[in-house]
Amino acid sequence: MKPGCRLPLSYFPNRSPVLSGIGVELYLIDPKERLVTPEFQVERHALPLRQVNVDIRLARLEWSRQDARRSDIASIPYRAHHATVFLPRNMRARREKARLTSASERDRTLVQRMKLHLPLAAACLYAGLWPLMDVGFLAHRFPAPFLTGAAFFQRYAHVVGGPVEYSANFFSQTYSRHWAGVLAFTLFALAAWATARGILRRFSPGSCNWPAATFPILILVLASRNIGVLYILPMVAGLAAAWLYMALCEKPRNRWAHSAVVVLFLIASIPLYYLLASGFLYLCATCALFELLIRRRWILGLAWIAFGAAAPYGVSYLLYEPDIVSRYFRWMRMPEFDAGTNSLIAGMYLFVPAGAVVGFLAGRFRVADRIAPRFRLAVRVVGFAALAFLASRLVALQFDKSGWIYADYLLDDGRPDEALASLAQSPNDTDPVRFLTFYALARAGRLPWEMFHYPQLPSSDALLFRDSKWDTVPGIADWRSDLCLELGRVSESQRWAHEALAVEGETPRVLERMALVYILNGNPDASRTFVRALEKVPFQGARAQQYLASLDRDPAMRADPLVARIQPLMLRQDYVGTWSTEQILQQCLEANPSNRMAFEYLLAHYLLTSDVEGFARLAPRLKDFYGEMPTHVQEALLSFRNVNGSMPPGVDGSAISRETEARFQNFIDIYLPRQNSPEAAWAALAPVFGKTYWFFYIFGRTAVGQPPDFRADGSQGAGRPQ
Amino acid sequence: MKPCHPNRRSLAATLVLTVLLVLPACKAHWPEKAQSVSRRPVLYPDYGDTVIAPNVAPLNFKIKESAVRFLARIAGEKGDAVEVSTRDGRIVFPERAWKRLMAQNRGAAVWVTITVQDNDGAYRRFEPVRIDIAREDVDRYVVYRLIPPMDHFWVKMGIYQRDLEGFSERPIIENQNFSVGSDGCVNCHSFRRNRPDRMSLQIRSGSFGKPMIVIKDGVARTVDTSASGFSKSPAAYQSWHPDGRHIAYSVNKVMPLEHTIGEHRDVWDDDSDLAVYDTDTNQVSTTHDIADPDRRETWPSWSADGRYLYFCSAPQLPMTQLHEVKYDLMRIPYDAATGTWGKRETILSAADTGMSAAQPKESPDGRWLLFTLSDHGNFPVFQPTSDLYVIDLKSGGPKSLTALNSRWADSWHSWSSNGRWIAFASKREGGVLARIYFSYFDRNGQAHKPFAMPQEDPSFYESCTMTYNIPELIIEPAPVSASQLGRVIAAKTTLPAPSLVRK
Repeated sequence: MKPGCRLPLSYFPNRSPVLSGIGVELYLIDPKERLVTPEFQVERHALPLRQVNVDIRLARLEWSRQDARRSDIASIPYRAHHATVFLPRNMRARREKARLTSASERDRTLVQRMKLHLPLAAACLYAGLWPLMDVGFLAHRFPAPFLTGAAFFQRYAHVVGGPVEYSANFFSQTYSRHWAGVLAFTLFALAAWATARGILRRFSPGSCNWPAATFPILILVLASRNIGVLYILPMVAGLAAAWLYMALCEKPRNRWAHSAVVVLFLIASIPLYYLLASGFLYLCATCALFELLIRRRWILGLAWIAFGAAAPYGVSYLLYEPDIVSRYFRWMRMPEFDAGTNSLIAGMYLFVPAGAVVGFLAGRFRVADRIAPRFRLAVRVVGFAALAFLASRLVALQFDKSGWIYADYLLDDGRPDEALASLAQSPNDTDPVRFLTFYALARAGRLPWEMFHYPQLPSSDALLFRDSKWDTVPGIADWRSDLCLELGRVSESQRWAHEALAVEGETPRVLERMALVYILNGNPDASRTFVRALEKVPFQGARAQQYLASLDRDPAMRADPLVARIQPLMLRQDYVGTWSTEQILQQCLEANPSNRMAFEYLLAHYLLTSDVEGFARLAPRLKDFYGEMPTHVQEALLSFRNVNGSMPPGVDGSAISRETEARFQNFIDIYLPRQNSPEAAWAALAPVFGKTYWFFYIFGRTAVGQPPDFRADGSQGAGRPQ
Repeated sequence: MKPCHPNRRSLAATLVLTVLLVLPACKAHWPEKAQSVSRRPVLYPDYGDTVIAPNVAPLNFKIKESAVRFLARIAGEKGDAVEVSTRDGRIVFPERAWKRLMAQNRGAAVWVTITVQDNDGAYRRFEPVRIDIAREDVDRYVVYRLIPPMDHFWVKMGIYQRDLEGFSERPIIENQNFSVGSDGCVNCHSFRRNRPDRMSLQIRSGSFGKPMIVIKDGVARTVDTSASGFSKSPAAYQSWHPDGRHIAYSVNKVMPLEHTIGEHRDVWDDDSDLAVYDTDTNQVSTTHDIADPDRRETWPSWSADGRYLYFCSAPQLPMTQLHEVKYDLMRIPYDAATGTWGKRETILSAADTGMSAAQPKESPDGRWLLFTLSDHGNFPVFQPTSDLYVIDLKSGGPKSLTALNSRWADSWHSWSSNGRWIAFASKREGGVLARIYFSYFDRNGQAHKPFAMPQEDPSFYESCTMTYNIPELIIEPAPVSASQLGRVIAAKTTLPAPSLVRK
């Protein structure tokens, strides 16, 4: 380094700890190894470093031997550590000013770098997320209503957090197209990373590039499967506002300008609360930490805390809501998942504030100086490993298609076979899983062949999903509407579409269903309203126009394949009252005896409830639907013959294959010796006959899933008529 | 950042100035020559041949013709014509010019002429559309409930106030103001003679019970009428007595039910009774004739002079006879000063009409009784057959208001304070979603073709999936805000349980 040369900032390899380090100062030392006056040093320091003509050597004062060794100028004499003798009385304030100015400089540098790096990083991230984000699944999992126009926004204008909900709903519309959804997440992740980095760097030494990357990865992992973007966006927006506050606080050169920034922000925090709801808490908390820990302005720090506590109360005077928890925590997802997911959610929500505090404490107590290099390295390795683990979880999600939630998506996407594969991966006998299983099997044309390949219970409640405890669960109305439509109960499907509209709002799926049911019910005028609403949903315009064109051509849309399929199945008689599952399905068959789905559901109902008489009544119609009897039907026929001594009326022995006969005999041979020992019978039969009707008939459940607790439930097994 | 060059600045300033100067001079170029089209244009909403109020906001509309440019001119005998030109067919009139034209032509007619330009540059002109302007204003505000077309469940609903002279809408109460989650429901609201100094509404909340909110002279209080011992059910339909002290209300054990073909929604009224709440003495009173165990009484409504309480009543029948449940239109004399009841009398028997009556409303001059008749039941908004009828209380005999009725449900009507306007909810556009319409009701008892409540965006109703009901006209804005009402409800400072008097 020659005197008078201009050096780029990047020349100083340790500039980051120097510039943002707490208790670490930047000093200019003349060629004669003398420290210049602190005043001179501070003045220069206040300038952007790129503009400083470095005609003297740059060094750091170190407070430990280890750091001195790492310093770019390691030959500083130990006596230089007595720099405090040169400190003027107001050095502390100047030191802080210098640090803040340096942070601003880093922001500028970041911006400059971003001119090149950001598009590159965005492109890489976009390419990386392209195969990882299952955007179609997200559209199904987190449906959100959104219509263009001021009238729709008005609905969100009267509630705190309404605008951010509106924004999140708009964000969710990008899921309609893979490219748009991935792009939205790419930009969101980059924004989250830049926000986290911008905040963390003000609290801790180091660039924070990699630690900050944890934040967007956490967001992507959770947003990919567990929580809607509505529960993330306010937090990121609040943090972004806090970042802006910090950046603006560092700019002003005089006290008045600085005070103006603070006052303006405190005032602006009230509308920010209205806009962001819980995101406002992030603004207050982060700004309070910044004022308390970094700038040591106790009054301002406490002012932010006071605003955070008071603004929700104050704003509730104008936009009242009685629930105090909602006032503070609206749009924060409460723990309701498994422990792992809850931990991730907590980690995401706490990442930036906790990271800021930890970063500050690490710098304040010079943790890095006190621990051994090896241990420091180990910490880094662990950090990168955690990051890699999170990233791998994001990748793994792409391959995890198990569970009923994913099966529901596949089913809605017209992939019942894949849905059944998903259901088979995580079998359980809850009502939603059983409902989806029945529905997927019926859609795939496999119900009477495979229904006992999945967990079943001796109840047909899940067939039509009629239990009222599910009434208000989001998405259930859609399921019921789907099922009723397939059964030809169009008015009932219409009813559940109405419920879905009231609960979910104008999502594309609901609007399309409303349009369809009104077309089927011969009311194209009503249908048009919903199609025009669909036209106002981003990315749905073309689809809506296709609908409108079809309606103009033929108001009954008879050429539409779905309409053509459902119309012949529609009920012709008004049934008012409360009906049993059997009656509901019989009504469908009365309207159209060839309603295959209704027939198979009725068959399933009889098998699940072991209603032998009902099965016998239905048996004569089996030949109308099947050339070769389905597996479970053959099994049921054999059971019937075994109990009654003959086949049901209308069915002869040719309906049963030799193989089934042989299997049944084998089943009997194994079962009879063990019929007084259910546990033994289960153990012997489950591996071979666990997926048969006979097994279900004996034990009241299939072998798939959890085995029964024979000690706790003595009624299991052997309790059924044979 | 590069500094802005002085020349660029001046250029930008010049441009802005030019635009500002030229913009006001921009006026729709009205082509004198155009090919005549011998039909009227298709407009949405259809305001043709309507009688409109002179004080109502601009009736913006959409021209549903195919063209590349659309020009609309509205002109009356007096005043300057207002011309608007668009490329998307949405005609949005400037408010000031519209109001001036309406004021100048009060009591006369205006004509809307539509000219469109085709791709080849040629113009076509349609036959003019006539709109009559009444002499009488409509009350400035309308208060309505805006909800999704729900059956059993909901998330968001509210009661809103719309300024009819403009387009502003504000919530009077939304269920989020008194809900933890979405467990709140707002029911019917009522005013005394179109004045908001007396107002009541009923809420149902999982967190704060089912109180009636009574607003007198701007002070809101809650009262749990179900604690009076009259009925465990909360109040439903309400009507303020003209004395500003008594509120007649119904208690209805209703349950929604579904049909499997056609309009799927219906309501079964298992039992209903009427009572009167005295807001001064915190007392509930009733009598056998309005709380007859053998009958269902509902839809209370005071006569204009307060001497009668109109209501609808039907005998108790099992649900299997759903379609035979038809309500008579009845009334009972009442002396508000002494609280004494007379004997009920039938105004219109269901046996005579074969229809079911609901929602009686007497006109402010006491001459006309407006109500609905529908096929069965007591919830006309779910009955596609529901139409508005009127009885001349001087000469008797119901007549259908054919000019305002449609093939779908028309119901939830109310009178303006001058008795010249009827606001009602109509599902005429498809039978599912109700919109608010206003019909001029002349001195001869004739209703005229109604017009839809104007919206700033003319295509608003085309894609609006919410439904409007219970439009009540008031002359002044409601004196309470949603937050005020929310605080009153959440404070749980409910009045003591009202005492019950049976007479």
